[in-house]
Amino acid sequence: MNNNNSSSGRKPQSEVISIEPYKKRRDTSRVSVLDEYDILGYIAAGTYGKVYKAKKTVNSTSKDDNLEQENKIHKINFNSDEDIELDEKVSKENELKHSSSFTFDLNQIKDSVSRSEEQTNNSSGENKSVHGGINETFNSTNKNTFKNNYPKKQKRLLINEGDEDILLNINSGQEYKPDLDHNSNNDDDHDNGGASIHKVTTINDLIDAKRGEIDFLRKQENKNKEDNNTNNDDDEDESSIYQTISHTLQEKRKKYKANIIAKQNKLLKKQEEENKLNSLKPPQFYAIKKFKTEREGFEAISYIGISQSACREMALCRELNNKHLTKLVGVFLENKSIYMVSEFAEYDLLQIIHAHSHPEKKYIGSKMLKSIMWQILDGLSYLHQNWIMHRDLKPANIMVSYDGCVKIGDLGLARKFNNLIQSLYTGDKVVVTIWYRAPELLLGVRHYTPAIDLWAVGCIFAELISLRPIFKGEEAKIDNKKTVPFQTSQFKRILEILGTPNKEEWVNLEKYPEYANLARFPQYKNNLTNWYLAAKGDDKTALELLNKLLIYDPTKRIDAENALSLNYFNCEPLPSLNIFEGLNYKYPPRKIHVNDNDIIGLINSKQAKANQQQQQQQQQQQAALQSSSQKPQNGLNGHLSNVNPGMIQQKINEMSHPSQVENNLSLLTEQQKKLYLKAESDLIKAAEKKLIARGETQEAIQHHLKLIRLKVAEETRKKILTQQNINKQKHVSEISNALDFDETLPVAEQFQKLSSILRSSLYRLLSMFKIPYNTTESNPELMKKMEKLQPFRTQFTTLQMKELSVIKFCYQKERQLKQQLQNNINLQQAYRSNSNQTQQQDQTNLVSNNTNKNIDLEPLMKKPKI
Amino acid sequence: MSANYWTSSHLKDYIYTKSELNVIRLELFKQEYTKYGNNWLTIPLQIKDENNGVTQNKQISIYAKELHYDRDYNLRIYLYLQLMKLGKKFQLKQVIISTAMVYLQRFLLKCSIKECNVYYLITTCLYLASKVEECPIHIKSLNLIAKSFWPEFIHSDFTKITEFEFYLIEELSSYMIVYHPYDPLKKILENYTIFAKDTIEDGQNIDDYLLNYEFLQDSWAIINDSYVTDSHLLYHPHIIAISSLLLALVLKFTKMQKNCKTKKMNEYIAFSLINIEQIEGCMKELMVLYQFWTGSNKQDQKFNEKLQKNKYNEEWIRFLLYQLYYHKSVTAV
Repeated sequence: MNNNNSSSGRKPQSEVISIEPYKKRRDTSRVSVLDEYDILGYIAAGTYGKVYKAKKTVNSTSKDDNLEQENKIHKINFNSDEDIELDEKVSKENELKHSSSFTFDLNQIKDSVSRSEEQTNNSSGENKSVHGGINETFNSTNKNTFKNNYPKKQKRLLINEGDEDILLNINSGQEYKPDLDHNSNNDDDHDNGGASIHKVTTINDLIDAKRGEIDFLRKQENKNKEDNNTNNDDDEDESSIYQTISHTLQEKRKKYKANIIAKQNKLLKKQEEENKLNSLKPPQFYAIKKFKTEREGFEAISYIGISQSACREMALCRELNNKHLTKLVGVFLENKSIYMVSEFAEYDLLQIIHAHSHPEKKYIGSKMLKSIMWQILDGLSYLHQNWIMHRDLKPANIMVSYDGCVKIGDLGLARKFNNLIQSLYTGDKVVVTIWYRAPELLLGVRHYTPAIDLWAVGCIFAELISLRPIFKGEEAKIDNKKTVPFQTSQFKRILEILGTPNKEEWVNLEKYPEYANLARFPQYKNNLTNWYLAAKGDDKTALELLNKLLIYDPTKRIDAENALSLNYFNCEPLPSLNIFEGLNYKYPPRKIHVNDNDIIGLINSKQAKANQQQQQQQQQQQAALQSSSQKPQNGLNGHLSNVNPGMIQQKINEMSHPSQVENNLSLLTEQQKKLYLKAESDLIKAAEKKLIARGETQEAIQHHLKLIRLKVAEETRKKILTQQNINKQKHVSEISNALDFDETLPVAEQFQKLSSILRSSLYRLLSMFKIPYNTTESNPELMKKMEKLQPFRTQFTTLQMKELSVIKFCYQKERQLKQQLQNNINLQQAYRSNSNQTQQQDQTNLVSNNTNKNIDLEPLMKKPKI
Repeated sequence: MSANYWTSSHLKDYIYTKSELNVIRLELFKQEYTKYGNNWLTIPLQIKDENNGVTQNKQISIYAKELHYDRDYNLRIYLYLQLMKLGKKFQLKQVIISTAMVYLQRFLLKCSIKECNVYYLITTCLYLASKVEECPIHIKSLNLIAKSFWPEFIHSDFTKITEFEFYLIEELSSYMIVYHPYDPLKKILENYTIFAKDTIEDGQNIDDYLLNYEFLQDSWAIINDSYVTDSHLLYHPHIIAISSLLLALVLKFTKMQKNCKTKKMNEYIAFSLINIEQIEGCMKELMVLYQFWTGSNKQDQKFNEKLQKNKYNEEWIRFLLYQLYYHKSVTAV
């Protein structure tokens, strides 16, 4: 071989493939989380991302897929059944051969079906050859039937040909269209992803149709049988031959069919049973933990791949399988985020503790306490047996499922501790939440043991007993030098309850890096028993467990497995697998926040597309609107010449300040300025002439001219704004449309409309200044936020001014309406005093409704007007 | 390496039989074929003749065996050594490199080398392995060094690695914990020592039977090399461990030497009830590799010398890969 000098010339990198072809293929074949799960809302949020509650979508269970596949195979069985019928007139031996050959074919078909499922775009040569093979076998059977040439049979032959097409279509993963002639069938475009769904439905339909057909055939045959019995000899030769053969074959066929039907029934029954079971169970929920990987803005630059904790959790959860650990169901990676799907747990210990301590303290029952502890320790011993340290045990990380099974969750800090390549300390300087951190960690130990998890369990146990954290110290933050500080406050809390450790208790005490800090504390006495009695504990065995879990020396601390065999768990009441056993109290379920269900941003991207389209449409509409709205502006002269004094007065109220004219001018370019000034002078001249012609006084003329100037200024500004921001303009037009509403409507409806206008305009105004608001906020709250806007007021643009004027208008209108109402009420009272209320009852009801509304709006009225 | 191999995903999902592997690879080939059709690599070759330096274009099928991970040891050895090179630069422990190698093998079951740049694959596998084995290396320095090794292929923007990492995890379906034969090897040696002491007869010297540190080293080296072969997709770690130990023994005592250690070892294996067929298969894999790598069975001395110089056609592979990833060279004929 001639070895050439490789990589001789350095080519530009853009032309070198990196992973694009693979990426392309992979991206097209990905199953989205949203296809499998419906998001109900999120239950927790953190810096890592969010945890969502979700439900499986209806169409996505894998069981159904299996079923469908089985159905397909059954469908094929039916086909072969038909073929056996076709071959009936052929001799027995032939028939047997055929049936055997068909069974062989069936296997092939099954294979190819499954293969075609795996490989949606199969245009490879081999599959073609499989199809070819089927084709041939089918053709041969057809030929046989043609030879015999029974008119009655030919009808069925057609069916068979149709079936052949179906089969072929199934095999090639194409969509079957029953209405089409089989000639045109092949020419159709089939290459689409949605085909599979179509395929399934059509196949199911076909099965039903086939079932009907078979029933029909059977009936016919039975009839024939009866006929044969009555007049055997009178029959034609051919049909008698056929009948005799069919006689012998009939039972076989019957058995065959019966078998298939029985199978199918079984399947259906199974499905039904499953459905029943599923309906009996509470619906299965899932928790989807979303790890953000790409953060917005600045951090995107320094993004360095998936975080270590996400990596750990994925790798470890995949391997672990224990009842007392949250089970990982699946992992989805899409759109630059990781979605870990696990079982959903309705409660966690933090919640339960909170429920017991609020509003008043109710200690947790001894049986429940014991069950919780037993299950935690069981899960932990499984973890430790698998050489995994959890390193972040705390009540918030211990979940409880709906049926009372404790599950240890959040393995983000967990780590294998056999065959350490890097020491535990170099990996993570700080582990475990401060209140649950073991003393050796506080003393700066470099090589710690799983005993730190048991200390945390001890703390949790104590918290479950007393309903508040036993060592509630304050965390000293890591300072700028990135050295880990000594947690003085936390250690003091521990000493206060457990007493100062001595060398007998803790053999290697002096060797710890932070021992010097410890030596500075005064001496404390062990106070744990008193603490336990103060928490109204009365179980000696429980105290024993607590004592053993909270031993200072990690080598002496009890391990998870031994803890499980302590007396505490072996005496009455025995721990149970359901921690809620014998409890008639239900804890409040998790809060679900539904305001952010956009788990992926996939919805976003889909919506973005839709939005884009919408925007395009809107822009087109806007353009159309603009062109129409420009016309009246061109005819501004005529418009202005008939200035309505009342309108001008209103404008004065709104515009108020002549400095705005200057503002407007500053927005214009030089050319526009010229045009503007010219138009202005023209207008003013024209107006002046008219005014003089009318015989107004000089003063009045000046006044009007001022107004006209203002008017012109506003018009131009509007024009500029429409050019600058079409979308915002749309809002304005919407508002003005909405503002002139019907006064003949009932008062209640008017109020409703008013408040909706008010609200929306408040939102818009707030959003312009990027002040956060919530859809559920009531008007007074919004008003409070509005007050924040006061300092900005001088900088308001016209658009914002417009919103403000709308708000103002709303208030005016509201006042009017209120007055109207008051009048109404007064009138009615007067009326009532005069006569009986028989006729007026309906109206009073209405009014009382209105007054209620009125009260709702009252706080709004008191707020200072902007 | 969490405790139990027997309940792990490694055992459940990632140990194949040979026929399964063949099916998977056939599937991959089909996929390749539908994608690339009858494409050829056009390769400019300088043929040194009397005319000196005539450039000719040569057509090489895109399906040449050098371009298939499953068909040619050349490519395997090349990738393995490149990965080692990168890993050694960071002074990573062998376990991390081995994990990366297993990722690479698993990934190449689902994706052909034509679809993604192997240099990126190597870099990303190493990056992920270092994270999973709790010894993370910094992505910037990784990118920098990878770029210095393969400047034509590695982009200066390291986000490509992070992007690829994502796809890698997805393709591994986030099963990332891998079991290696290093631990079983130690255990087997311990166990063997106990066995030898128990079964020793009077008058025999125990030192004749015990395997010393040297053997451990040798078998370690063989295990390291085993990552070139498919054995980590085919056999359990302990099988690989014991096969490499046996091979180390065989290599040590070539001919008629006093050979009681091998004898004892055979006894031990018989006693231990480890599946002998699997050991045999694994040994075969390893021996075929060494035969190829060192060319030891070839009589032709010239050929051997040539092999010594260029053991596995390194430059040719590198050149082919370069041509492959350089877009324009793939043309339809």
